[in-house]
Amino acid sequence: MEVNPNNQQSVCISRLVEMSNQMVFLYQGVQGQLFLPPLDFIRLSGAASRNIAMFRDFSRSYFHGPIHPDWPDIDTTIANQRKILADCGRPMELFCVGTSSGAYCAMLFGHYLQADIVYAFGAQTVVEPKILNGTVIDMPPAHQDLALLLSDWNGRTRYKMYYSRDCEPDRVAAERIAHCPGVELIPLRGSNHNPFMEIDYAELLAGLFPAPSPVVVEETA
Amino acid sequence: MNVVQLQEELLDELAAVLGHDVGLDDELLVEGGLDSFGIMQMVTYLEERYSIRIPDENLATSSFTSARIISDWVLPLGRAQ
Repeated sequence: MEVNPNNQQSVCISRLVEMSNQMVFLYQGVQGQLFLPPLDFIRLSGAASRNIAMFRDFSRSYFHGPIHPDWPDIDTTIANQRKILADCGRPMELFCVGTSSGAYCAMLFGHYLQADIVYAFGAQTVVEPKILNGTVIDMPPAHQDLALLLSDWNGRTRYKMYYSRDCEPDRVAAERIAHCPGVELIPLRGSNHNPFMEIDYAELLAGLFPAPSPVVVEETA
Repeated sequence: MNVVQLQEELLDELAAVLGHDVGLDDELLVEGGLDSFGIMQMVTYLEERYSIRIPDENLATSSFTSARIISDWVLPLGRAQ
């Protein structure tokens, strides 16, 4: 994956591991974190031994607005992510991970990309079609309300919703999509929007991803 | 790879990532503006440029606080791998 040499313009950066058939897509929240410094999350979760692509959204439009000349709209953003998977050249188990607004993105794109598992921490499930400067962006109703989108299950993806059980906004956000197929609510101890604040997050992250299955290397005659 | 060449290349890459020049001992994270995305860019750059695999213990923000600190742990990796 090419990276724009100007850091301020980069949308995606990927780190590929030759002998892994698992891909982790990481979507940063508005704060540019994963409720932890991303490297800590990557190291503690074992993502470092898997393929990784990390995404950020400068426009803060949930990737709907033009965020880069090569990422002009939501459809292209989805297509670009599919290309990252296709460029791996072999089937990948896909895990989409995000926190807060990034968790919304993980669910949105996990649905379209037919991810195996989405890990959403403190997720927003309803968003306003406005970016931070107040500009209204083109966002279909099913993207504004994930209950609408996820009601039409893609037949594959499981959504693991982690949230602090005493954080009212996050609990409500999670419970409103609890009826959607594939959704599993995982309330954690605590009241903070960042559920890692009050739990042993190292233990949680260490067991987050399923063990990889062996990579089959095809021999050529 | 020698330390002088490594440090020169590191400074060039950091300038490209950050959009401004930095010195060998300049603090990168707060004053330099090297954010988590920039750190990931440096991780992939280092692995590809020097054909190394960065071990988990160096996948930490504290490993990227200055160009000199980066070179201090990259150099032995480059020699060992």
